Amino acid sequence: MLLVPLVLRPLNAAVVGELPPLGYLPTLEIRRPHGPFRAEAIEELRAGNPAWVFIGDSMLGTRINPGHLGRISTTGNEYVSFLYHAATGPAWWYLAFKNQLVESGVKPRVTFIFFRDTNLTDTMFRLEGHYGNALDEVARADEPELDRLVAAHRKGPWYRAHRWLDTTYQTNVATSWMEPAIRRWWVRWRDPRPGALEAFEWNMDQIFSVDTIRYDVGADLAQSDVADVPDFHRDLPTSVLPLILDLSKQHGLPVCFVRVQRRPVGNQPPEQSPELVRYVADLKAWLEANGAMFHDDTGDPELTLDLYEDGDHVGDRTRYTEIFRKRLDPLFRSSAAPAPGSPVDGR
Amino acid sequence: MIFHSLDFLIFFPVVVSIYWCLSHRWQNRLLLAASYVFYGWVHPWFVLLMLASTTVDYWAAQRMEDNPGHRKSYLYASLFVNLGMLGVFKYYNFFIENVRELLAGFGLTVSPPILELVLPAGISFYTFQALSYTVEVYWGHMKARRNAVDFALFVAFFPHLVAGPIMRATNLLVQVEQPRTWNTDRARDALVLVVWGFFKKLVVADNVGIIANRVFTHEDPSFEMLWAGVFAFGLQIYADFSAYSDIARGTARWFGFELVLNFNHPYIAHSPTDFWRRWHISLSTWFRDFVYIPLGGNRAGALQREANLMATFLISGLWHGASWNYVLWGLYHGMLVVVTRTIGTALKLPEKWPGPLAVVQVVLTVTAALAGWLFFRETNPDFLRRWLVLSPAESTVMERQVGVYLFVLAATWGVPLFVDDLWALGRERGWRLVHGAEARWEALGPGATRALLQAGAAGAMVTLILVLRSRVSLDFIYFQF
Repeated sequence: MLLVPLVLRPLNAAVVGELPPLGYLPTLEIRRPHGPFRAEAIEELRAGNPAWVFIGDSMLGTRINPGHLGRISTTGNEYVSFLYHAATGPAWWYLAFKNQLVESGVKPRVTFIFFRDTNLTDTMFRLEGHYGNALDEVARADEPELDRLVAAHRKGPWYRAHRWLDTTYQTNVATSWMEPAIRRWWVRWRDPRPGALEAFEWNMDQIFSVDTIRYDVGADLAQSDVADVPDFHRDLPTSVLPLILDLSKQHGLPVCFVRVQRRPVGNQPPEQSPELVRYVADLKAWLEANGAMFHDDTGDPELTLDLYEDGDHVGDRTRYTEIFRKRLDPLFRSSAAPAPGSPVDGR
Repeated sequence: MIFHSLDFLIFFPVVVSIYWCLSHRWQNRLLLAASYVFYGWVHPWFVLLMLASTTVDYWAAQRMEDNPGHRKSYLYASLFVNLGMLGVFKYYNFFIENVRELLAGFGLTVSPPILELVLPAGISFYTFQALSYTVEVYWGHMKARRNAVDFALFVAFFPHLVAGPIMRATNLLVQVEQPRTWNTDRARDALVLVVWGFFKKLVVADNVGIIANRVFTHEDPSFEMLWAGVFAFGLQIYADFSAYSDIARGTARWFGFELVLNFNHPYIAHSPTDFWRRWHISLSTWFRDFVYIPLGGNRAGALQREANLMATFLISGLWHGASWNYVLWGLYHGMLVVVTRTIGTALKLPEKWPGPLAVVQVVLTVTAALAGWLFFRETNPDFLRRWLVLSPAESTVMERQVGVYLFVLAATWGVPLFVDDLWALGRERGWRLVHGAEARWEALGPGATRALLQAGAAGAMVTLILVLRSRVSLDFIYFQF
């Protein structure tokens, strides 16, 4: 029974030919084709020389309107840059910071990183499966630091068993061609013209974008991970946080971490378990002790339910941007970079 | 503990290995302890509830026998505890919310407390199983048991504990009491059944489940997308639930037990009545024997019979969950059975339509059954109302294409189910190809060729599980019931 899967090896050789090289996270993946690094982001940063850079996922994308923020800045004409990709996690944010912002050589006054509750220290959050593909656009050929962190999360027997199966049977390689073949055969058969498949998938993405998630499910999602709050100090050594702060100090790039407020329940801020309150307090204390800034939206009286669209996503970016600008006024008024660990909340 | 977890992959071989080294009495003790570990793995307090149900039913049945003059009182005690547990954990909040809304309709505002309780997994299954024992003793169909370990094992036997099949005491308890012997051929058959179950769960159910979830989390799906989602859910729930039953039956065989067949290819049913002979058989027969027949069954007049049927389907719907959509789902199926039976009788139609019309009959039945899953899947009444009036005229060309794509994708993942069902249809209808192949298979006997072919089939399924299993692991749907 366990010999039959070995048929995958010659099958892969026949279908894929030479196997793609090992990726930048050898601990996590065996072999899969990788997308290109997005070098244009570096050029865009250099050309724009932004006063502020924002990094994050849809929590950022549905909140900040960069054009509007630039217009309501002190001079009324500041450039705000986004390093943004929906459905990403701290690994993506760290790599964007390291490989795009740091490499560009620009010196924004502040770099804001948006996150939800405990995401920052959860290195594996949105790192595997199809989420991993987004990482290709910010990763270099080797990412030993990130791989070391991933390895720390992949020590158990379950992962060793997975890895053994992948290595012995080349299951990952087989998945990389067999699963898309099943998923796409009908579209390819219906319209074999070049580009038709990509156009169809783009349309699919539009039809099933995060904006179309129904309100009751969005609210459920917002509440679903209130439980299971990790211990901040336990997770810190295997998180990307120390890496980001090292780079920040090394290259003189002030960073402000922004914890977004999740969807209010009724007209109350979302539930904060004692574990979550303790986690956030530990996070704040550690960030400020290590020269970073921290801002927490949670409990802001102006961030009411009507501002939200689905789940934790905000519908009115302009209004949120104005509230954000007001709350972090000291950062936006100053023409120079703030002192490390300085308080940022204008409330 | 769940079947598709590393914990179970370690737990199961350890328990089996020790089990076959023990005497019958100690086998039962080990299985009981293992069953409590399995059930209390995540929430140990779940075991306390099961112990309560077990203790009351064990005691009540004995008291019925010892004190025949008060048999009814002890039956009521058993009903009170079992249904009371279900009431508190499953239906209390539903009841309270409905009372509150009803009173609000009269202008009265009340705020009774809402309980923040976790629904213990499988509570609907084991309480029904335990209840069947006390009722059978009450009816005099069987003697009350005096061995607490045997009885507790009957309630807690872990392979089928969380999502059935619901076993009767007349069947499972008797097996618990009898010595069991190891049979290699039987274990090999069981292994193929377990692998087939895992294949259906991890490859079919979880992949089509993603399609259904995408559609049912969309705030405004088109007509085609919605019904593609309903179709996907119809495949998901069949693959998911029958997978659990297969894994349960397979693992039970490794301990020498035989659990009843729970699914007999429901998507080749030729009528709604036939569908319910094939779908969740252990629950359908439970409701037939403990609700429908005591209500009067077929013995009363035609009108009363249909009323009994509707009541049974309504209760069956409510058994699935404390929500009006399940009640609607039950009523929908009740209506289907009543209407098709009435039309069939009025037009003097044969139960199975002849020739090519048989295909039309199966397609009509399966379409009606699949459509019913909309009531089951959509728990929000506001959305349900919207979906029921959704028109294809409102769809854009792209939405239509996406709907068709989702339908085709779900069907593609469902191919193994269709092949399996087609094979079963061939067996039932006497297709020569199927009968010939099965005769050759039987002629092989229990020798090495058979073992090799079984290993090959299981290996092929393991290969596909390794490659095509969904990256999103979904819980078994029936865990929530």
